[in-house]
Amino acid sequence: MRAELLEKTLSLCPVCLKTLPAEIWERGEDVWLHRVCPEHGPFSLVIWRGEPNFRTWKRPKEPLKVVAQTPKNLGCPFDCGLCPEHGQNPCTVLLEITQRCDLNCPICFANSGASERFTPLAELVDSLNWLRPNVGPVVLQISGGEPTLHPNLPELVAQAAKLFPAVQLNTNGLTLAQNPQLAQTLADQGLSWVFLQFDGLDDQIYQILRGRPLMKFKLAAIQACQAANLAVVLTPTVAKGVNDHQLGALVDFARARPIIRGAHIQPMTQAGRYHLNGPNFRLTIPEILRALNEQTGGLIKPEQAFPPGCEHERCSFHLRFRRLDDGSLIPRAPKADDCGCGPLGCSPKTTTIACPPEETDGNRLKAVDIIIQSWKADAAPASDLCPEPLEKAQAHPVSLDRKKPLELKIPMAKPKSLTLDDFLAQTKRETFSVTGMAFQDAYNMDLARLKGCCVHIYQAPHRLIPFCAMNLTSANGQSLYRKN
Amino acid sequence: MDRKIPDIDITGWICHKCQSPLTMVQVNVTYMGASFEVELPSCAQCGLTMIPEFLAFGKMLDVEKLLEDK
Repeated sequence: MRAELLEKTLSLCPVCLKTLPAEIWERGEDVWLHRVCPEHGPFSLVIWRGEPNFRTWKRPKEPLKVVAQTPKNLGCPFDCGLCPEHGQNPCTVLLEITQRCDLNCPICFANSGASERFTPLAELVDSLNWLRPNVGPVVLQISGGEPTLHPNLPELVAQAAKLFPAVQLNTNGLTLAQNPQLAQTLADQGLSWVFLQFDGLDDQIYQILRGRPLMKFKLAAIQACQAANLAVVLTPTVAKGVNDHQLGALVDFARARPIIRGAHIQPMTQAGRYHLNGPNFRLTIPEILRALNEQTGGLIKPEQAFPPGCEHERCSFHLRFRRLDDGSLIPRAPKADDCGCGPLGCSPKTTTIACPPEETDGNRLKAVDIIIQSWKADAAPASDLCPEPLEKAQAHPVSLDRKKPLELKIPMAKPKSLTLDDFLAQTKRETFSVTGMAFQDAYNMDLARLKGCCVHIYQAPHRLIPFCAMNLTSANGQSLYRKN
Repeated sequence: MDRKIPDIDITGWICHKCQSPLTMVQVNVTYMGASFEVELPSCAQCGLTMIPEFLAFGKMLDVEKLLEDK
């Protein structure tokens, strides 16, 4: 089979993390990242598999000059951050408020555990006060460990909500399930939405990925959020052969419930703690898009997906819809750029003129707007909040290959005629998104992608570490930025 | 149900084509398969309807942003 060199970039040796020149080769339907470490030999990995085609999945951007906090010394990814080589400011900043966690997942990029300390509230508030003028009006994600274990979480949410346009809570849902009142407390303090770890619809999946059955806790957490009118975004970590067959069922589960604003799919990486055995777990963005299409009976089509405007084009995808009360999803109108390119971004197929790189900082702020539009809940009428009992969730047939979309009856109030204000409120409630972010690890690291990263983790004092640099772990478990 | 948009003052506005004064009429706005009703200044003769700037750059833009990937 003929192979063709598509790009040259920089990568790392997964064993010693040495920076190496790398090449991206196309061979048949697969695109490979290849490099050779003088000490540890050659490493090749498929980074893109099939349609939508790697060559057309483009969205060029002009790198931004960031306000650097650290000097360039050893080069990417050793000088975070941000160092002057980085090309994008954050649209989302993660504040990790503890490394303590009440789960002990076999996979955990943060390598969280049971006996870690809680960062004192005063220290966290200092961090927020430094972040706001230095990163601008971004989405602030409160994360961990498991942040709901922190005794001062409500006070922290209140402080964050005063400073940032949106505050997102990244949680496994156990505390919300066991203490439903917390959802109301956090909503009252200004929490915008809950990013809920939700890997699938049966306990077998949780047993493998999280080490114990969790389905009843996940359902109870959603119930608690619904009672507090607090929006939920489901965030599955997806591994081939473990839960990739449930992507369609997960979308069906989400679109049947107005309080769930979308699913944010994260293919698994090998970072932090990683104790899974078995065949290759890796999934690439096109494989996920095709699985969504097959498993939803064509409800979600790969050609409706966009590459991102904020981060590097190969780091994520997004599909945004209006969700109607019969369960149908109406795609938002594709953006047409000045060069005439459509939903898949710029490509030689769709334009005859050169596509200009997009303006990076403008796109970043627009991304914040779109994230908020997509995920924040507006007060919903009571009639929107009474879906079928959540226990019925597992009754949705899980099908690998659905012939047509599953029909649903979604409880959303719909008066016959609407005023402009009604219409705006209703359209906000109808917004539903299916998005995905392909994080990198030592095996598939492309430093061009890392330099375009806009999801940064705050590290005291006054550092921003791009997500995939923070969680980067060598094959023998050595971390660059987390304590080992 | 109140469909009036406050702050629309049509005093002195006339249709450029017909030279007729504008009057406030109930308009059904359809956009990408979704519709809503709103009271807007309109020419009584030709029916041309004006969307005031504050509305075009305010709530109408919000609607567009929600329905398009703008």
